[in-house]
Amino acid sequence: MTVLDIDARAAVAQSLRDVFADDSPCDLPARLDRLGWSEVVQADPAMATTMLFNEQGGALASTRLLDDVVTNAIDPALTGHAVLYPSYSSVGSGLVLGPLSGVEHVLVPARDGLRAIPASTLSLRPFGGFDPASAWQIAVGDLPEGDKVEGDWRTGQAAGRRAIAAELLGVCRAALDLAIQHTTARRQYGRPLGSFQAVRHQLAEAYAEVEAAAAALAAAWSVADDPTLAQWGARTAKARAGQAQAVVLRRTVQVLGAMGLTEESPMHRFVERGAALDHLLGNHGALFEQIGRDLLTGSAAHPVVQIWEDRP
Amino acid sequence: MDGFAAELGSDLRAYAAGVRSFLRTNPALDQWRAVHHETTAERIHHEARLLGLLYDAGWNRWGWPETVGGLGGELVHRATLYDELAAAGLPIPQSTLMLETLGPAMVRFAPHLAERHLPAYLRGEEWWGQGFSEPEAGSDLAGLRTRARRDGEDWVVSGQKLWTSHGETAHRFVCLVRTGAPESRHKGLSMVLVDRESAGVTARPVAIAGGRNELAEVFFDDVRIPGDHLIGEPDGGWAVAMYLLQFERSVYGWQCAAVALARVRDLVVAAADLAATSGIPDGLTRRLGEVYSDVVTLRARSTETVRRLSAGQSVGPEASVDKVLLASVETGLYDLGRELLGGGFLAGTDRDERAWRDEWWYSRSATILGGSSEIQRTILADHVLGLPKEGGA
Repeated sequence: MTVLDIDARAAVAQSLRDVFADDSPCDLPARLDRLGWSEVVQADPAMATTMLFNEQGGALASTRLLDDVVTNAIDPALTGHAVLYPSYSSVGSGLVLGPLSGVEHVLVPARDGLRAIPASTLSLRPFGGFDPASAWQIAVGDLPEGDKVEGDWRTGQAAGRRAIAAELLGVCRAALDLAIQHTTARRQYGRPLGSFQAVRHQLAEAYAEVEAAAAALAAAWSVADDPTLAQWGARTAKARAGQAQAVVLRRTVQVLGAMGLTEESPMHRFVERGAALDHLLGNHGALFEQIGRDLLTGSAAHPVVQIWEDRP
Repeated sequence: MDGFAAELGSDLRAYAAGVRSFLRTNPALDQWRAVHHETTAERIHHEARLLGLLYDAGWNRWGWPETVGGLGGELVHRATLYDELAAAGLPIPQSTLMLETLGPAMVRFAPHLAERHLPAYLRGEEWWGQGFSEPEAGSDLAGLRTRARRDGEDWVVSGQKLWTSHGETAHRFVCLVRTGAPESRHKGLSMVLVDRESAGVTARPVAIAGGRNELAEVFFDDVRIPGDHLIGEPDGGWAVAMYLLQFERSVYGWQCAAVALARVRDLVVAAADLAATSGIPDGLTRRLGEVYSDVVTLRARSTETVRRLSAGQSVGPEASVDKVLLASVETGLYDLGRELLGGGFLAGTDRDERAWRDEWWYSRSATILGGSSEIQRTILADHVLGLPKEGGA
């Protein structure tokens, strides 16, 4: 069910860009509320979520919007909880995506099911490192036992992966735009860099990767309500978006020449955010490995998309 | 279910269910399962008989207008049929590759020829080759030199085509020829239909590595064709070619994705055998995951494109994305197969191993035919990304 036509979508995208560009202290949920965002989400969750996270990626904004996506998918009653994401490393016991001011409970996916722990019991330090601009924080030390919460983490994980895939695509598209601008404006040997075939083809490949990942994401949304395929589709979409991130940013950094390595150009920020988002809820290499292992242990090589099945 | 039921034209889901049930329950289809043909000619003839069987039951007539032997419906019907064939362990008949490339253009630009010849094509009694490339015109198609000159009501064609798909066995050739001045580039081209039986036509197979005769060189020595064998307007061949390329880049991608998914399933079986004996080499599990994800991604992309074409929308330069994706699916899949089969790929003599060898070579054409990967990237750079023109100041 697509309720917005192309013009309306462009207008919504512009409003979202304004929201993310606004550096005023007013918090993001309030700004989205003023936009009437919850109605847009209700009308078309696939389009709304994809647009919101596309724009967040393009703006390099670091927020806890993902928490709402994850908690809402598990159980709308959990809205307002923050989420402790797996850190997939020996460092810390998990990640939160921003400061927890005003948050009472943090949802923790544990081996034996979901738990909620008081936010005040978490000992946090900035995640920093490769992506110093992110607001992410890492939880250090042991976690309290917390209270058991009913719900399936995998549902939240699938919803989270679809949203992160969209955010990665936003990062990729913005980096590609920057690379196109640079190679159109900068001249060497008396002509624009973008007129050299070696440069043009690298950017064309990058574009094809982005569009491929966007198609994989649309496919994941088309099976989002299918209990057997939702997680399978979301994992593929996240893996493809992570792969697109690797391919696109390798190329966009290259065509910027030395400029791509500087603090002065924003390109490095796309690289850093891309790497962080690829890591969140499973990097593409690990996800491809899991997919391969599942196929080898009896999961069907499902077509996911059926051309005769025009799902909303 | 009856393959002629009128509601199948408007109920795609019912069509899919019907064709699936037909393909999985009809014992007559077993002769097309798990076959590896020694020659291209044998394969195309045998698989054409599968089209005949589908025609008699109605199934491959959906998606084509009634005027050309069809039963109505849309391109998505044809796409569903190809997908279900592959999923049922059956081949997508070789002759349909060119049917999908050339058929829609024929229906649109030369309905009289489509009415005359497409019914036999759908019955599997004839198929066509695509005569575009020439010795001096490969990627630079607009530089082609085969000429057609007017002679009274007729046209007289002379020149040479090369890399003509299915040229060894095709009953007719759809050729792009020069009707304007030698330097007229794409403005002076026309599309014509040439019967293989016409005096002056000689086709010689070109064996591709691996020994298969997928391609041919076709010589036209003052071949006289009737005036009504023109497809589209005189000097309007480029428009026909561009229309046709939308289908070549999109539907071919869909067919490739359908076959590739079946091939992924074969690879899973091969890998499981390996796991039970010598173990799976490092890295191949991840690559299997990547290849499968690539196939699903191509399906997703191709579904969007085919649905747009099916709804009568034109697909512009962005169809090059489909072509780039299908090329990476093909090369990635068959490279993985080659690596997994190891010595069996190199020297094995059973049916499957010979099939993987043949198909590996054919998979290398994915980055060449229908516009090479370089051409596709240039199209994307020019028309989608809007980068400065190549070599421009």
